[in-house]
Amino acid sequence: MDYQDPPLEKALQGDEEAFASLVDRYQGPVYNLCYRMLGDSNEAEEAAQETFLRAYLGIKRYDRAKSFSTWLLSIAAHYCIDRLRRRKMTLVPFDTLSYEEIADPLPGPESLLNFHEQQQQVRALLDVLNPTDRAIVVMYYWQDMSNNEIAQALNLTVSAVKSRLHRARIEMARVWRKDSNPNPTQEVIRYESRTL
Amino acid sequence: MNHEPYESWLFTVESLTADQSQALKGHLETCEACQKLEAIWNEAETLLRNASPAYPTPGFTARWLIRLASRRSIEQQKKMRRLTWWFFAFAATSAMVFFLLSMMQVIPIFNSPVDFFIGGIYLLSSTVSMTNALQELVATLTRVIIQAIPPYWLAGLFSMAGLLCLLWIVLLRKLLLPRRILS
Repeated sequence: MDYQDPPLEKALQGDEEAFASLVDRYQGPVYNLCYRMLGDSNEAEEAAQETFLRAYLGIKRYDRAKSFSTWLLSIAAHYCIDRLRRRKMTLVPFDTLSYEEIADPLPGPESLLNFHEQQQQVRALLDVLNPTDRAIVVMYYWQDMSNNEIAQALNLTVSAVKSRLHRARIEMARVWRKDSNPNPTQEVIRYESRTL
Repeated sequence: MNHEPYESWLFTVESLTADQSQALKGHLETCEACQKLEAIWNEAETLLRNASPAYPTPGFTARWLIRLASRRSIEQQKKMRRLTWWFFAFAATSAMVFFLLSMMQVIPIFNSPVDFFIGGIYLLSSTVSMTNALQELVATLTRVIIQAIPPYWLAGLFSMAGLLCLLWIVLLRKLLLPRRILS
């Protein structure tokens, strides 16, 4: 609940400048969610811009009882889920998407290499998840949202969020196992083929 | 070896009770597969937790403002196009209604042209006779007025009317012409 927030109050009255200050404030979380969901910096920029535009044009629909950031992230997540579903139709391989234009917080060639390697590993983990599960994982790990907030943002029940997160973790562990341990022991193979 | 419910506990979002934690710990000490699974998941989760958040390139808000202006312009164009279509539809409907009404008037001509022409001739002759009557009335009134009002009064009235016309033209020019801007 974002009571007593002057820029938000002004933005709710239709003040464009006040809304621009909200864009300034929330651009990081919204962009990060879009980037983790879509895996491409250009698409993430497009999605984040569209999210703020939709929020601005639909500000009258904002329910003051809920947190503004949750509402924004909800718009972003639904937009990205739709994009991913459309992308599925056009069959764009996830690996072919570029990530050269990510704003790198760490300077230097070595750190840049580590950063890109880390991004690639994260992307490989998220790639196996369906769009809704991906949104749940991103909100849980990067936005520090509670199960309740995630449920609210994605129009799901709390138990659905929990079970989807549980399933997503199993999926990600399966992918990580494949990447980190290409030759597992027979016991592990038997067990994992049954459980994962 | 039975791995349930330990495998589920490894990935659960809920926090485990003390008994469950103890049981899981005991199982992990004896089960190589679950140990491996726990290590795998810990590595993956550490990666997720430590992955630095992505940020947009600088100037995001400025780009958004440009996009908003562009979207508004597109919306305005759409609105104008919609209005044009509405106007066109209204004009087309009016034309259609006018055409139908005209047809309703014209159809009797084709049914009985003689009646229509007789009616027309009657209308024409009555208009001519009415015009003549009006002309005579105006002439009689003018004669009466000229005889009743003295000539110097008439001259005064016409001069006053002329002056009022002149004043009206001057005022009109003064009010309607754009003011000269002095530098």
